Order: sequence, then structure tokens, then C-alpha cells
Amino acid sequence: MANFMYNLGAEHDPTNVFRPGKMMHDPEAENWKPKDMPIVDELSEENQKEVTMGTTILATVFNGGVMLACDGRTAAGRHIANYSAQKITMITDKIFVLRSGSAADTQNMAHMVTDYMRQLEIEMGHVPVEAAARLFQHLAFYNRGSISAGFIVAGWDEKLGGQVYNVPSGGSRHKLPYTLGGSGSIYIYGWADATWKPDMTEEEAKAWCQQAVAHAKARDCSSGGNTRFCTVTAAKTQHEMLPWSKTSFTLEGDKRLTKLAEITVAHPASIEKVYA
Amino acid sequence: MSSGDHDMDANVYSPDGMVFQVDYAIKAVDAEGTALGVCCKDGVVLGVEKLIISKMVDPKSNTRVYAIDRQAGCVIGGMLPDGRHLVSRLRDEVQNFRGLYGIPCPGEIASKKLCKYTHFFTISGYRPFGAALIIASYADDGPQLYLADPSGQRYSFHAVAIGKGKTLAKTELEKIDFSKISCREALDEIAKVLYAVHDDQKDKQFELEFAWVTDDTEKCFTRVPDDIAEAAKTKGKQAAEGIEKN
Repeated sequence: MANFMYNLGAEHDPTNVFRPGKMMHDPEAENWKPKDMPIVDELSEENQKEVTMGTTILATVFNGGVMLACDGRTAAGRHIANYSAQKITMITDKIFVLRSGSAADTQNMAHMVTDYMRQLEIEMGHVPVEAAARLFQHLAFYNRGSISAGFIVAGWDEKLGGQVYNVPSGGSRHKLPYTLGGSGSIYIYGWADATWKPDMTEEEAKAWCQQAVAHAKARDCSSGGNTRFCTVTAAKTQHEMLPWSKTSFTLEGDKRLTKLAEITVAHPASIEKVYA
Repeated sequence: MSSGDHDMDANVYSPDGMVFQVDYAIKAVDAEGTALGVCCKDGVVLGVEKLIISKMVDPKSNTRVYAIDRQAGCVIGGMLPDGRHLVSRLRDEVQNFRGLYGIPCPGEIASKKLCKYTHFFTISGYRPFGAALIIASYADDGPQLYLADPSGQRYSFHAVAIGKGKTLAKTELEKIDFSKISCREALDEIAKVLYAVHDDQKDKQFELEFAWVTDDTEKCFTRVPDDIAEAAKTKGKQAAEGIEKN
């Protein structure tokens, strides 16, 4: 079986003209086997998987604006391609979208919507969040058979203030005070419903979002890495990143649970000794 | 300014830099009954002097007032069939906007889209439309009144008149500051103006049509209800007798 490498671009072999699909082949490579190193002949099927964003995304309205939050993990199969991904994408300076599903699909759809919104902003002078959400809905619905894309559109406009719209993969649109999305969201629905309150302050909203993402990352293998926030109010648009080390909760670091991880003793005389 | 050889085609400039076909199209608008629109503090009112060719025609037929969307509508000045085509196009444009963006099309954008279409017919070898639309819109950007004329030019007006009696109508409309009065009061004024400009000798059969979009109609473009319209017409007829015609 021949060694080969996908042709990634001219920079990898300046003597060859880049031809898409052409395999670069080193005739000597077949005979070269370094000692003690396993041969990887081709990318395993696992690693050929499309880049997806198994993810945790959420947004909430607070008193004066909206808070968006997301985790940072982008995976291609089991390979973590990015641990600090920016899943909060700007549509206009006051409207943002959180993306989940296929990275390719969502990035390109977000580009299209941004183009339309720029045009509309020139014509109308401002863009209502509803219009951006409707456009995502339009694209998601009419392409629903060929894409995998879930969006949360959140932003601030003068007419209705802070708004959050969930546009899941079927192409429906739901205006909500807060919403969750992505693979990690399922683990925190109960917690989110129990702890959310209307009219939070900006700090409360950020703390709530931070905890939500932390708990989702703890249980979802597709979510992890750094946490990102975006605050949108009338006065400002502010981006922040919380490093992984400062996450407020992980299963590994949960002090209540360390006691359970005792070394078990074969044939204990008494139960108490083991579970003290 | 001589027309002569340079007025047979919309593709042709005259030596003075005029495109006569477009001017003639505008004249076609002024050959029909007067249409006018006024922008008030709580909405927009449109009125038109609908000329009827004979006593045998049902006066309700061939309406010149059309709704474009829930919150917008227009009145056609000039050739009615051409105007109907423009209305149909404007409706498509506005519905397309709503389908993409989920919000009512602001009046400015709606009139821009129509003018882009109308303008195409002045440069492409087709004859320009012999119709102008007075567009009323009451969306999130407030009450708006636009005139889209056959050249593809677009104007935003406080009050506008087109058609046979436009000169006299404009003079009368200029006397009133419509931004300070309500649509119901404005209705009486425009009924008066339409009766004043109507030429009894040349056009014996006619009907006045009114439509509006106001806070009272919940920003919905509708015909003015018959009872209100009749009251305005009676009042307007009396008041018009006081106005000197040219």
C-alpha cells in the first residue's frame, strides 16, 4: 500500500503546481520504515469525519440586553480540531448568531445572512433582530434536507430591545426569553429551567451562562475547551473569553465527589472502612 | 426644445438631452383623472377622481385604489392597465421582502424597488409605463407618502397631486399643513380639492374613491368606509363651490 499525503497546497511542494485531487507521491516512502514507529498509511475513517460542532450554546435576555455564551470545542470525529473556537458569529454589530452542527454549513449560511443584512442596513439604516432570525429560518428551512445546522440568533434593536430566537435544524423559529442549543444542552435543560429568572442584571446573566456552559461541558464529551461570552446592550457589544482553567465546575474537580473514589479493598471486614 | 425626429423611441436622446418618450409617458399620467395623497400626523390618506366613460358603467368597477400589503397601498394615476401591472409587481416585491426578512417592507424600500422596475422600461426599448403610483405606507418608519413616476424617479411628499387637475390641486394642498391634522380631517380637505378640480363640462361621469392607512384602522390599508366617505363628499362638494377654478 502506498504512502500518500493529501495535497494541501503549493507550499508543501514548491516544485509542483497545485492540482486539486492530485496525490503527491514520494516513490522512496514505501521503503522507509522508521524503527518502532507504527505506519499510518492513511487517515482512519474516524478522522475523515466532517468537522462538526458538537457543542453547548445558549443565550438569554437580561435587563437591558442579551447575553450569549458558548463552549470552545470543535471536533473532527475524535480529534479536537479547536479548543477555543469562536461559535459566536457577528451578523451586524448588534446581532450575533451561535452556531451548532456542521461547521461548514453554519459558517457559509452565516456569511450569506451577513451579506443580506449589510444590504438591508444600508437601505433601512438599522436592522431588526427579527429580520436576521427570519433569514436564518428561511435558509434553514429551504435547505433542510442537505444541511445540518442549528442556530441561536440573539441581539439588540431599538424596537424590541434584547431578543433571543432559536432556529433549530428543521427551520422553525422560536422567540424565547432564553434558549439552549447543541449536543451539550440536553444535560442542562432541567438546571436551566430551575435557575433562570427574568430581568437579571448583566452580572447575574453572565454568571448563569457561565455555570450553564460549565455543567454542560462536564457531562458532554463534544463540549469543552474555553468558554466565550458576548454581551449586547444598547450601549455596547462586549466579547469575553473564560479560560478552561477558570471554569466554575468540572466533574474532575468537584470536591464532593473525590471521597467516592476510594481504593477498594479486597474482602473488607467492614463496609465502613471502605466508604468512610 | 424640439421633439421632431427624436421622440419615437425611448432609446433615443434629443440633441437637448431629453428622452421624449419618458416625458410623453408623464403626460399620459396627466391626461387622466386627478389623484392625490396627503401624509398626516396619524397616517396617510389617498383620494382619486375616477372618470367613468358612460352612465352605463357600474361606478364600482375599475377601481384605482389598491392595497400593496397590510400596511401599504397605492392609487394609480394615468393609464389604468399599466398601473395595474405596476401594482402587481410592487405586491410581489413587498411579499418577497416579507418572506425573506419577516418584517413589513418600509415605504422607502418598496418605492425604490418599484422605481428600479419602472426605470428599466425607459432604457430597454420597451415603452415606458403610462402610469404613476402614489404609494402610502405606514410601517415601522411611520407614515410615508411616495410618488413613483414613469421615469423611474421617486419622490417623498407631504402632499402630492397628479392628473388633469394637479396644478389647481397642488395650490390648494399647499395651503394646509397636513402634518398637524388627523386623517379624518384631511379627508374632508381632499374631498373638497377633488370636487374643486373636477371639470363638469368635459367629464360628466365620475366617482371619488378614498383609502387610508391610519392609527384608527390599526395601520391597515383600507378603503374609507362608505358612511365616512359620503359625509366627506357632501361636505367637500359644498366647500368646493367657494374655490375659483382656473
